[in-house]
Amino acid sequence: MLFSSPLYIFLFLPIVVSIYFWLNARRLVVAGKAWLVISSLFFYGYWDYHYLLLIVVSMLVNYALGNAISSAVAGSVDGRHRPPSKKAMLIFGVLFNLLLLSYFKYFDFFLANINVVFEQNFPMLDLLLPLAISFFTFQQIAYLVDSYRLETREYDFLNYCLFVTFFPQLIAGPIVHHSQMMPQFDSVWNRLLRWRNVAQGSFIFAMGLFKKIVIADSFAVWADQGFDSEQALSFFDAWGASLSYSFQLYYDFSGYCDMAIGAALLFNIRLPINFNSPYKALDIQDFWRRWHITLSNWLRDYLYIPLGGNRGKVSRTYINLFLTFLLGGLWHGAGWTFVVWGALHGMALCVHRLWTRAGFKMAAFPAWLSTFIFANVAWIFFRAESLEDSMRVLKGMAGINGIAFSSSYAEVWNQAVAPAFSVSAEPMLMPVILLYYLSCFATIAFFLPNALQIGGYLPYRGVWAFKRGAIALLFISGVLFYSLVAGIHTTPSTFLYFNF
Amino acid sequence: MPNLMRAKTFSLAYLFGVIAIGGLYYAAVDNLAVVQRTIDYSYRAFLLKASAPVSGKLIIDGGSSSIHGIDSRKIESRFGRLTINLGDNAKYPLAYKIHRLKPYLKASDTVLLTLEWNQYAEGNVFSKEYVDTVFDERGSNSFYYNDLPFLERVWFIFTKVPFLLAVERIKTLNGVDSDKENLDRGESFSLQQFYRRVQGGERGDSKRQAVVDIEAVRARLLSTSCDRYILQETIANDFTVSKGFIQNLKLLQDTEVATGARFIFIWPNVVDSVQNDCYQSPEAIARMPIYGEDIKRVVNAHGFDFLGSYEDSHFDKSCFFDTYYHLLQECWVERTDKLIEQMEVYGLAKSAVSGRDILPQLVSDYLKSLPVNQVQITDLLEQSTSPDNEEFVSGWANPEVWGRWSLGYESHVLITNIDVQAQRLRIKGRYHHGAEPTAVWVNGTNFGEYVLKDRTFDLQGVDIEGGVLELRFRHRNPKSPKELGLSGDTRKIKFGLDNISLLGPKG
Repeated sequence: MLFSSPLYIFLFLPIVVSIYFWLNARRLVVAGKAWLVISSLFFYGYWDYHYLLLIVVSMLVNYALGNAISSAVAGSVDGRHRPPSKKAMLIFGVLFNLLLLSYFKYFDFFLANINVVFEQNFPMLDLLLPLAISFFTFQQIAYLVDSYRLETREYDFLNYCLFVTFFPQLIAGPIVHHSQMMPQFDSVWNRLLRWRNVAQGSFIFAMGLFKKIVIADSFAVWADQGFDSEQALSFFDAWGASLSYSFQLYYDFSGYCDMAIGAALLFNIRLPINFNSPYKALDIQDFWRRWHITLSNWLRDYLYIPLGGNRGKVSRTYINLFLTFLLGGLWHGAGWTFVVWGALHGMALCVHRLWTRAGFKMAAFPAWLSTFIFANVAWIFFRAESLEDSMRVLKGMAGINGIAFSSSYAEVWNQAVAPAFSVSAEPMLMPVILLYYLSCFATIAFFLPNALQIGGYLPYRGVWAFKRGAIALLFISGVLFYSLVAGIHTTPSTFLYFNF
Repeated sequence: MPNLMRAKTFSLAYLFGVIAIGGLYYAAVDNLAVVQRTIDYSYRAFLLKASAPVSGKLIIDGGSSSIHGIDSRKIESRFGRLTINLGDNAKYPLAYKIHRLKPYLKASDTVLLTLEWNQYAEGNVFSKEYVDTVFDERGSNSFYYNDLPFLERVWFIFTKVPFLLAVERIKTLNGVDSDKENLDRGESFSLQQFYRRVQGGERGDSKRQAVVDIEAVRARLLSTSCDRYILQETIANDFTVSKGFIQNLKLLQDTEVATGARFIFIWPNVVDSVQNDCYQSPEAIARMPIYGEDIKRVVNAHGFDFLGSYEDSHFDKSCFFDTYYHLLQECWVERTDKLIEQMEVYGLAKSAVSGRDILPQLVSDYLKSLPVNQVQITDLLEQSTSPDNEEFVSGWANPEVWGRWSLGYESHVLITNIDVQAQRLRIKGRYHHGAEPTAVWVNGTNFGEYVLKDRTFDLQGVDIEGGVLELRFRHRNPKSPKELGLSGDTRKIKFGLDNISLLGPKG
């Protein structure tokens, strides 16, 4: 069930919200939580019920370990018990989660490489990647570490299940902390339907929905056309394809995050901000403070700092930085293209650190432009099926395959200019309308406030701010209606971050 | 916050907003996107409506198997009951066929359902072709929509009709370039054709000459064995009767109760191609007998009868017409005789009505009740779904629902017996990967290069005295969808010909 599907919007979400608050209004708080957990598991199992068992087992093991770690801590405090080795339990827990993730996500990648390097023919497992496994694994690792650090504890399995499975953030984040979520569910204030939150959440949800079904899905057509094309891409086609993907990903992921935040707000839950206009970033560090913020924070808190962070030698800091992003790349997918993408970002962050340490500065415009172009080029590896495909697009962007124009311009060129220069133009693959889309939606991404600012979730007081008036009303109604008919006869397009 | 709606009002108001927009959208599609023809495009739909007042008629319905294998006139002669054949395409939803029949059935009517195998294995499939033809500018299948009950219409529009298709149809049918003229011309054409067909005693059977290049047709089919072709959905559904089919049986029960008509099931015609391979795969040998019985049992359990066994309508390769479901006319006799025998054993009542006598009168009465526009202009080239349309001499792909794609750089059309009084030629088309002009020659005269989306040419100076119109098109830059990374289709296509027509003088 996609956030953008009519089933979710018109059936699942309203039913779950209504029954949740109906139960809470009758002071059936536990039943309300149980209802949310059951609904979330239904939401998860709707894709493939086979993996319900996996998430339930994962929760059971992590809950037991978290409890054991917390008890061990408590035991050590009151002095009545011999403190068990909580560190050993933490290591076991982290290993358990990583092994689970590795088995389902990386085993075939590992085998394929073994087969190539050692000329073997080990059969692949061909496992279907369980939905959201990367997200719930990281979330639970964070929980174990937080328990170890005495930053959180949970003795109620139902609460724990709610923390892991809460459906607005289950599938593709944001990656939340137990300490961020559970106080909100336990707040008496949050147990009543808050119409202000419903209005604000609906507006933010509609903004996200618009980004997904109107903008991202349109860019997807052109991105696929370029990346999946077997022919050599000309200059404009290659740039058209790469920019299309950059904006598809931007609007797809930010749309998803907006919908997650909007849906959670209906339950009076404020999810952490995950996405804050990353294409406005002035450097690559700034970019990672704006793109997938909760993942960046996770990598910083649970990987970079445990690796030593910047506490050791200077060279060690750079290695830690590079390794963090290399592994971050691999987290997104089991493939060399993701490794290269992570490595590129790791290198860029190292260069940025060297640059700032050396005291260099760059004016805002070239800083922004170089950051965006770097991100755009790196996304090519993120999107392409193979390194060869990435190089094919990059060659096109470098103009190695020549320049093509739209068919009508090519005609003018061939009749008026080509005879003089003996250079004829081929019609290009990308339609001219892409230029309008890029101009329009790039301008929005670069210059306008983002959906969370407009929706009042982030501070903003400009003219675009959400007001409960006729325009917002029409906007929400129009977008919700369009979601009803937009997907008919087209293959449902999943959110890109569901794959990670 | 002054001047702002209360949050509760706002939240409820947008819900009403969605309902209001949805209602407006439904009303727009319902009223503006579906062609409302006075005379249906389909001869079979026309026959069904014209013959509605008659009681005791026999209606054959199902996939194309029923119109390519059963001789309705012969059944009519034997039973003395007006018999019409409504079969069209097994990929059209059975539920909608039932809805279409319902308003025109009388208590003593009998419907023979010749369903093909996919209809037992799948629910109601709404293929792109089906939806497109419901909304096309001719109204090819618009009668299916127009005969739906209100809730079914709502469901259809909100679950099966792509938004862009609906908007495009609303724009085309109601825009400045109104298609009213086309529609009138189409209706006039239909009327003339249908008159001739009624006079000729046609009952909807598809009696066509044998395919000329039958070996090419066979060769094309070779990549898919008969069982793979006819049992694809059955195998995918593991030889299980689908829930969708069972739901359709319930709809049939309701229809039977509401109309008093009787529904009887008969098996589809299946014919071997190059070798005798239908029902011969190990899977089919092992499972088809049980599956056939399962279907019968389910059908019987819902109160309907089945005639014969599926092997009764299995023919060898000498009967092959153009697919595994179509029989050569020579084999219709055998199939029809067998069916008649089964119907007699079953006890189907005979009557003394002569369809040949009553149908012209019925049609005449039916037409009198309609406000038909008689227009002078005549459609020349109605696109046919027949792959052997002789007018398309070279450079054309097989027909799509809307027309044909050009193949390669040149395409050639030759139309004979045209109205020599015609003064203008209208060509309507579309383009793949960009509208690049097409060079046009008419009877050897170069007319220049044009984007042929909707172009009318003056025929003054063109020799059409012999009643022959030869059109040559030269296309720029044909490319295959595969080259463009759109699909695996390797055909190099460029221009799509929707329609060619001859017009009278301007005004």
